[in-house]
Amino acid sequence: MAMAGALAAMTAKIYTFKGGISIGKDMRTAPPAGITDQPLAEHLAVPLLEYWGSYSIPLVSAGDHVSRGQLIAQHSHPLGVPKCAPTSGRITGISDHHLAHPSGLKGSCITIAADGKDSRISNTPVDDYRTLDTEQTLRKIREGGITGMGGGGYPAHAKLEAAIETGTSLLIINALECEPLISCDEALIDSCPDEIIKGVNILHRLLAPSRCVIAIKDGMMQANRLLTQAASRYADQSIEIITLPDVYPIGSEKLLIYCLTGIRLDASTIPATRGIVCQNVASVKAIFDCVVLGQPVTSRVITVAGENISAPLNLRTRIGTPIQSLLANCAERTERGRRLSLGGPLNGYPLPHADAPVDAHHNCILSNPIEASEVAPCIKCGYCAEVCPTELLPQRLLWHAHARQLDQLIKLNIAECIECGACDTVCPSKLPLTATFRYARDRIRLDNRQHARASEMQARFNKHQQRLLAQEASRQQKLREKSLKQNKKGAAEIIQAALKRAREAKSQGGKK
Amino acid sequence: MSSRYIMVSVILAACPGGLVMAWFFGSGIIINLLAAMALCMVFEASILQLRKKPVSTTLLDGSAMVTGLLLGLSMPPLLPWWMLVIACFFAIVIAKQLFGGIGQNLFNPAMVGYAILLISFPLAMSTWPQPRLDETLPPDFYSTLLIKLSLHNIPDGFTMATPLDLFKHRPGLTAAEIWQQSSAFGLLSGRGWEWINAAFLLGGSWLVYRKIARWQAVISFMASLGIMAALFYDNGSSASHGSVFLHWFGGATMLGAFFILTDPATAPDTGKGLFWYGMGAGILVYILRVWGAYPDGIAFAILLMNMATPVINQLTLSGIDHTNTQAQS
Repeated sequence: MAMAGALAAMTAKIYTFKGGISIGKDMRTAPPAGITDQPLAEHLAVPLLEYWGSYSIPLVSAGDHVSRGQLIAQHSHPLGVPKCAPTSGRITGISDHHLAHPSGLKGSCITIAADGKDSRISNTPVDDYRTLDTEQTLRKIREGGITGMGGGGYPAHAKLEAAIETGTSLLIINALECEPLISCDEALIDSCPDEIIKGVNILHRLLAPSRCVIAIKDGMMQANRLLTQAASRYADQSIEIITLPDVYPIGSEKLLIYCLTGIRLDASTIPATRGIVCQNVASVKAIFDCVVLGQPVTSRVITVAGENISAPLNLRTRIGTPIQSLLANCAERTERGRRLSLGGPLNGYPLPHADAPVDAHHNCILSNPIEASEVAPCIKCGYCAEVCPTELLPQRLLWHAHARQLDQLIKLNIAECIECGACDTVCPSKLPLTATFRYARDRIRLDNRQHARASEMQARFNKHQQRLLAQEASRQQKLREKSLKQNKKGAAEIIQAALKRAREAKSQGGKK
Repeated sequence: MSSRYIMVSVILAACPGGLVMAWFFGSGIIINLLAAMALCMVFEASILQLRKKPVSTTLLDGSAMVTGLLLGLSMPPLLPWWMLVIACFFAIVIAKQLFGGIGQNLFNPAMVGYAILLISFPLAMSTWPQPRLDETLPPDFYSTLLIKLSLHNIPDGFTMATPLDLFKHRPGLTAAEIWQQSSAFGLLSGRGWEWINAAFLLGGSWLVYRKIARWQAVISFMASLGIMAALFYDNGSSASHGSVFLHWFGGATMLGAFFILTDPATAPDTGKGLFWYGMGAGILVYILRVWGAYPDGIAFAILLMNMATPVINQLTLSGIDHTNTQAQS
């Protein structure tokens, strides 16, 4: 099995994409050694925000006691996952907290006061994952609250269900972690390679793909060795462990699929519907934890780094931990100001509030000093177009975005922008290209939504008009029928009666 | 890499060519360079003030200096000072700032300034002094200054037609014959000019190596100019229009190829677009040099291709076939 996998990996064809930024050896920072456990916070706030903007439905109320892993909120969106308590303690309330979102808006969270005992709810482990059938496995994955832990946050069970329906040709385990400074996935592989391979086994049995690949990046030599060893011992099928060049953003799903298969999928296509499943390596380990060990997602490993942090760490932290406590654990220097971002140096979002809680799909917190902005006008140098991995023309997109010409942006395929931030890095004028494109794409989305709503209202209005016209027409019809009936009876009699009335009135009037 | 770094690199890369030019044609070149750069900065500062834009930060991006540099390298060394002022005015105020400033101009500012002078003052613009050859020396500093300040007329015998001009108007001689007869021709092309072009080639190649100048336009320009010259060479007969090397190392070819054609604001966005842009410029340069009224056609060729840049941009989009054009999130 292992030999077949290794042979296939060596002869696998790798496609190279145009653009991207080579992360040279000098840019590659030494990852922190191992995983450090973040001490349990006193108060945790489990965010209820779901992938689609809806909020989960709480199943507990203030005063309830919960154990670690206990179900505390139910999904509200049909494809959503439930939320579990990250530690044991008392529910102190369901209230609005600042969320880890660039908008700085608040969202509903369930707050827990930890009791320090960290007692787990009794779970249902299985010795052999093969004793569970597809439906049971998917149910366990869903109830485990597993979402894309590479940053996407999309529910794993939904992706797997879609892939099972269409049939899977390729299963990719994304261990690339292509962004510089982030090393949480690499640390996870180094610490538990066996569990990861066992998680791959579970996925393989669910999906039955024709090809299974673990993609790692050039430079992850220890991870390569450990995974190969674990695969030779535990893999139930052939796994190709393929090393890809360290070019950002090769870890982006669509680009990774292109590198391994040569197939280009556009932004609107979901790979699972085309038989390709891409799962982050941390999500795979979480799948093992919940299916075999019966433990739902209650913690994750996050990298905390940045110029303000002299010793970056990979912290295993509970969901709901305030980000501030992670920073406090890392000897953060704030004399040059603090600008927080969520995500890596290239792809990250600004984080306005440090008291926001950690969620399952956050992979990196960066703390950087505040620098004066030196934005200059665009000189049309074209470096941005050279590095764009989806071969867009950022300088032209910027031009049309400033002019608010949304139709031109759509024509220039702004929908394909993966917001990787490569263009920002090479711009000599330090223009905020990615931020502008994010804004433009949001505007287009809003525009479409308004347009759809307006069309809907117009359709309803037209129907209403038609209904009124139809009512009017039927009323006229009834009147006509009625008058026809009356005509048939005796128009002459009616006239005689009216004439008689008129003569009487005239004679009475004459008498007076 | 900031825009300032790019501009400084361009100026440094032009130094070898500028120095060689000054060696052959005298201190007038240096005066032109310094005066043009200073004038361009002054005009830019004034317009920025009028437009209520930040003056010092914008000036420090170095683009006005580069325009001044290119103007200074294109002008004849004995040009009267007030013509320089006109050129810089049209370059900075009209061609660049009126269009919206850096990155927004349609035409290359230096070429606009040069073209306006060439059309308005054809005699002064084609008056080049005798270069430093075995028998001749370029004008000395004092005479140059007096002539440029219009305090002195250009004495007879001071000037000489450029080699491209001489070759174009040679009276029924073959290429080999004019090469022998006139002292104006050296190894590959005009004497003096071939060294100047070699120096610009050196500096320009460094720019391409540093990825500051994009290579596609340069290569297609040189190739198409060379192919046109080879096609019409006619074996150096009396009707020949010049060899490949005469054109490559004569006139302002290398300056145009590496420093003007590669100006990012006026050139197309994509590699494909740059290829067609360079090819169009190369063909036009040859046509203008051979069948046009002026001995060198670099400026007009580039201005014509600047006009074509928006169309080229529309026709050459990316390499991937993004077939989905529905608006998506």
